Amino acid sequence: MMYLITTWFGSFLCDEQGIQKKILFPCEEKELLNRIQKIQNNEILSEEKKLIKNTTVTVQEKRLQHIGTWDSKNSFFIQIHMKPEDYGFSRELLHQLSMKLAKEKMDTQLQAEDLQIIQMADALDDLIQIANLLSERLERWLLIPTPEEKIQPVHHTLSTVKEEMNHLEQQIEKDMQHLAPNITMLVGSLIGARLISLSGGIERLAMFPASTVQILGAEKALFRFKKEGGKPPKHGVIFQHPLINRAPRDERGKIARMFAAKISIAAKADAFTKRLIADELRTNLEKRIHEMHEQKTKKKQ
Amino acid sequence: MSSVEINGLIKKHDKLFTENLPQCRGIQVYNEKLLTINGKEYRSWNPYRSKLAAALHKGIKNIRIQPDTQILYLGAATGTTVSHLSDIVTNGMVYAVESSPISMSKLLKVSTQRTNIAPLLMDANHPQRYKSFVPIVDILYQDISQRNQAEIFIKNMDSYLKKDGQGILMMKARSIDVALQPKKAYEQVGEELKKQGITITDVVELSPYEKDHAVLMATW
Repeated sequence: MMYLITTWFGSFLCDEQGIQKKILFPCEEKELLNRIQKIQNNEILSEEKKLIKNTTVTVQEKRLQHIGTWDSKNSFFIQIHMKPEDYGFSRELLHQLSMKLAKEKMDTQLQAEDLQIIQMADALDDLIQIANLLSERLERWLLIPTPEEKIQPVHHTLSTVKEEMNHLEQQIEKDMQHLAPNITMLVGSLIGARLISLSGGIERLAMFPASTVQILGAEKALFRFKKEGGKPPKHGVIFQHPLINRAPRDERGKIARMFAAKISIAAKADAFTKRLIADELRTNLEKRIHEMHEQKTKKKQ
Repeated sequence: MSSVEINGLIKKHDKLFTENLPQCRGIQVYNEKLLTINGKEYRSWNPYRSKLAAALHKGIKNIRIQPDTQILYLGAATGTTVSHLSDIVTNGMVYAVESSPISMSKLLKVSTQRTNIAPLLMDANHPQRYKSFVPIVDILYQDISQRNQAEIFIKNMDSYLKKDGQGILMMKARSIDVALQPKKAYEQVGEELKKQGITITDVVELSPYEKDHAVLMATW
């Protein structure tokens, strides 16, 4: 049986006796990075094709399943070991390559737009806290006779904070329209931004099940329930939406569940297909709520 | 604490120190204390910051780290523990896998002078993705707070750990299941590993350094 193994410095064709054939990559940073990039993109290298010409091989990487038999658990692969030094490649070179690749990948990942949304949503919540704190202080202070100039600093700060809150809200609205139009249309930009912040990104939000979306922001209550029993939470930040907080108590849980299901679908559309389906979801949701009401009246009769 | 027999690791006043790399003289990674003895610089290894240091304080035995050891480190975070391992394996390599780009920026800073660290911004759930970088290793070290930490550990052992190599798994009970007693959670992980033919040589809790954590030593 023949095995194909590709490392960062070359491709090797081996059998139980050892390495039978090999093609080393050019020992140059650019050339090596080029090949690593291809491997990361799930492509098959020309060296690999050349090496296996007409032989049937067993491979460990799924990337190579089209040119060989894929068997990731084959114990041969943890027996054979190629040392880069034996072929004129130094460890320092590997260090350099991985540093460079990690840096590039990091920069693209950190440029993601949802990271900005997360920071903005969190900053807005911070500002709200500060505003509440300051207005509480003002209220208490004003209970005793106070000359205007003494409270001026607090007053001034509070109005600045409120102004900045407005700016930030507008900015979030604008960015959310662009990044997640479906979520924004369904729940509004602020709740949408908080959901993205709590889940850690639009893609992660899209991969969560609807039941998780339903209680995002109610972690404390959820874990209290898991540890000590009692009642599980019915809603997290989506409670801030009038559809839930204006509903009668006994309907909130049901509506939260249906609502979360639609938000989850909206998130998937925003993250992956980019289709606009919010109107459709909205109609469906209203229909479901209507059905629920009908059943409720029927039961009463 | 068991006797210390790892190269470059010394014990002084009940504290652990690793010998700093010559090219990193005077550089602190996480504000740790630096100490010079006989012209050599040592960095103090804080058991409250690094679970491996905590494990050593709690007396795990037979960690086989030599200067030429190859270590696959999953969940490198900002490189606290990684930096100490890099002190020890002067001729080896630490393959440091971390999936968070924000942690990675700190890890890259730590790795700049340390040429025996290969930082990899990848997901340990998919061991095949770093196949071209990581060879068969002597030690697999994992510190990932995920519910499926046992599964990740098994997958990586399958792909990278040599026969009779050492696996070191830092288990976080609260990640496995918050509702479970920590001891039960450790047992659950142990069972999962045993099913895959992995031999567990030691399990030690890390209190008082870490709450609800334990280290599991494995081989096959």
